[in-house]
Amino acid sequence: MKKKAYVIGCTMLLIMCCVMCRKANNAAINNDDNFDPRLSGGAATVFDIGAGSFSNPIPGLSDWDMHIHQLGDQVFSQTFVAAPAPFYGGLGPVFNNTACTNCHHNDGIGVPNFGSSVSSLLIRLSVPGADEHGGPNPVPGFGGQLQNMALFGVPKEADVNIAYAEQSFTFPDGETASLRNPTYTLLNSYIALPAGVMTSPRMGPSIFGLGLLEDVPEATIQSFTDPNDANGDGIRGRTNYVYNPYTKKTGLGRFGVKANTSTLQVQVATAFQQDMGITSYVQPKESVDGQMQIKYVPDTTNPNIADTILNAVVFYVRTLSVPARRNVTDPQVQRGETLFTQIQCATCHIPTMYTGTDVALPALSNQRIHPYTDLLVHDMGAALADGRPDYQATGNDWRTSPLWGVGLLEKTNGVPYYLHDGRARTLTEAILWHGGEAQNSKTQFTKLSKADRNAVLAFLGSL
Amino acid sequence: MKKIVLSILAVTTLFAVSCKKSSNNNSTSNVTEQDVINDFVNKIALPQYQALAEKGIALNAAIATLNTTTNATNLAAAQSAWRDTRTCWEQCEGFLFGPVEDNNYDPNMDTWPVDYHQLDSLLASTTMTTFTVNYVQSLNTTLRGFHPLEFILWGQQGTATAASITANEKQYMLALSADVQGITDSLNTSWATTGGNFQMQVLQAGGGSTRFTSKQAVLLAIVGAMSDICDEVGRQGTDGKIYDPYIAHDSTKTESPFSHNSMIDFKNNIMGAQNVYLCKYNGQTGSSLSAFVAARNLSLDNNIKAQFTAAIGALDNVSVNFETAIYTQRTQLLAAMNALNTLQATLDGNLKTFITTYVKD
Repeated sequence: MKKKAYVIGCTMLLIMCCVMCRKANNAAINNDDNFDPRLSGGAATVFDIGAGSFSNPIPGLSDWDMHIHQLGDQVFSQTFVAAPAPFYGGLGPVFNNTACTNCHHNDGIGVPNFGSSVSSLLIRLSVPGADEHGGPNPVPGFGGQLQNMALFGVPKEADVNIAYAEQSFTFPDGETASLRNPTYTLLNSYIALPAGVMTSPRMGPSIFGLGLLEDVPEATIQSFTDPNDANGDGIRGRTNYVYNPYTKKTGLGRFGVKANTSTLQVQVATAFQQDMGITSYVQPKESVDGQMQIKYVPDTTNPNIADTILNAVVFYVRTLSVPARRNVTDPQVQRGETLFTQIQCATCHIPTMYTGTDVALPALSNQRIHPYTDLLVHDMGAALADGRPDYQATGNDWRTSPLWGVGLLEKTNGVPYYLHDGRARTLTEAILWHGGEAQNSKTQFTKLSKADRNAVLAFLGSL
Repeated sequence: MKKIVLSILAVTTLFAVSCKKSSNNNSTSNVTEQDVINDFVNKIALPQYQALAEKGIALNAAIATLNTTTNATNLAAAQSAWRDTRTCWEQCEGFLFGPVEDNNYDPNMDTWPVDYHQLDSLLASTTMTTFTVNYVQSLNTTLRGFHPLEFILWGQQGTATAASITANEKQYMLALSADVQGITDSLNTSWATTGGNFQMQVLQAGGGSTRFTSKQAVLLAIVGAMSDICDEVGRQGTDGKIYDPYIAHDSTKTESPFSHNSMIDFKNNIMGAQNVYLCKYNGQTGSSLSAFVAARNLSLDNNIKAQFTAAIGALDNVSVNFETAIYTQRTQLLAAMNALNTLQATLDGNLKTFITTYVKD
């Protein structure tokens, strides 16, 4: 009898615990009361409001891990040179820039132009159709990305010109804003570009917090999807499943402005290959493979960087912490946060989620984070469209950009720029460019009073 | 009862003595945080950037003279002008924040090592007569700035003579020095009220500055820059300016290998940070961070001053050029790195904590 009572008691206790755990978990996701809202990256948050606020390693790295992080940092900051060279050789022969840090200044963004050391823009290219993996169809003689710079004596693929046309916008209360609408023109191509080439301008994004985003469970991201708008809110978040050239498998795209890359390893290796012409074990082919510029490559058989170097840079990117929020008790910021949810910005820019288990890096593991993204692609309307499909992402689709750290861009970059091609010079402009599924939210924002619009901006500034 | 009274008296006396001691130890300076910020701008940043722009003009003029009359005297004068400009620039790296970083002025004129392969291609080119400053500005950072110029003025083995400078090298050096002059001028202008006016972002910290929303933020940026340069030079780990070539026993990985100016570069870096702390430059002094700290924590101020002196002294103890010291004076280099690490830890630790403790607005 005693034994029976004991078993029943234990069972009841277990059920109670399970129920309590479930309840607590649900409450936790929807309620910030028991959490410090400043901890945007959970345990991977650092309190730093300076120019280096995107550049801190996650807390708690072991000495060895810190060594690898610093090695990755060194390579990330290093200007590469032409081969043969004793150090950091392999640049080019065509490229977009010479150092990772030039496009990701202070681990943030760069400048939206072409052809200088600070230039952070590049142009992806394709022709209609898809490649054998369902991805963009590369342009013969150019590949999937235009390299607008080259080593001395080597023909670059083309130049790019940007022309901005200012267009004014008037809020219902009479306030005006000016949006600059870019037109990109390819000039001086080394061979003729085929007809029907599709182009997609993209600016280097901030690179902190990416380890956390990589650790968000796929099921969590799937739970945000609503491709058929079943809930009728007008938002149709979709996943983008993309090919991984290293594993030769398809995976959930998380990175890139169209969620067109599934892992940080591929993201980093492809940036080395396409942006700087540097090959690695993950991307062993030269970016000019099949082009006349291949003759300027002294050694096409060995990767330009050692496996350990690529791994160190991937580790560096994976282990950059998220800056903490500021002014979270400011009433204007709190008002802005409420409005942000009310006008449905938070439907795509999802504030809170949890990472999965990461046995290697405790600061990334099972963390409650506030990235303000759903990592899904959405139709953002014709004004932002590039018209160039990228796997399942259509020409109108863009991935919801994470908003954490967006309020610090002026500090890390001097002059901040927003959106996939840096066309927006202020957060207001960025909001006003929203269309498609975000049209309703934008309209609601424009109808807010000036004070409430400022509150939304103050909230964004606190991220 | 008597015991209780005695105890209270003892405790009170103890507190009084403690307070008195603390009070007596600290200086009576009434320098405010705004004074420190104002004089950082007016006595350190503006005059040094102005001086750098002037050095850039002098360097460009010396290179033009060398081009016109290529003899040993003018080569020595150009080398001297290069070193003068480097001295000023490396000291400016003691406060490396703001436009110098935002606008990539630093990598545009001070990237190393140079791209030997492309340098050879450039210098062997038959189209060098069309070589202009605009063209240099379109090149990679490894082909711009001080170090390609150093390569020409000293030669890869440090054996350049006036007679060995080729026609192509002349064209290239003219464009390089004009580029350096342009960058130093732009940097100076970026702080000027008539230009980018970054000085107002600093001066109005916490009072309208969009860049620094508090005085604490700008003082942390100033201290952070001091700490960063000590870290960059002295870090005993990956990417340390001394450590990397030291640990690799490799003198080709140094900053100014052709002129053998690397040790001087290092010392000027730390002197630049020391100038910021003491608010002292070119015979002028002002309300310093040192005075602000001394009034509240004399011991910390004394420590920082002593550690600056020790670090610079340790660098002075290296009696040969860096490229040689890597092989022959390793003990002195290690001591210098240790001294810099100690200083950096104090700046990054105690001094930052001090700022966050005492500067609340």
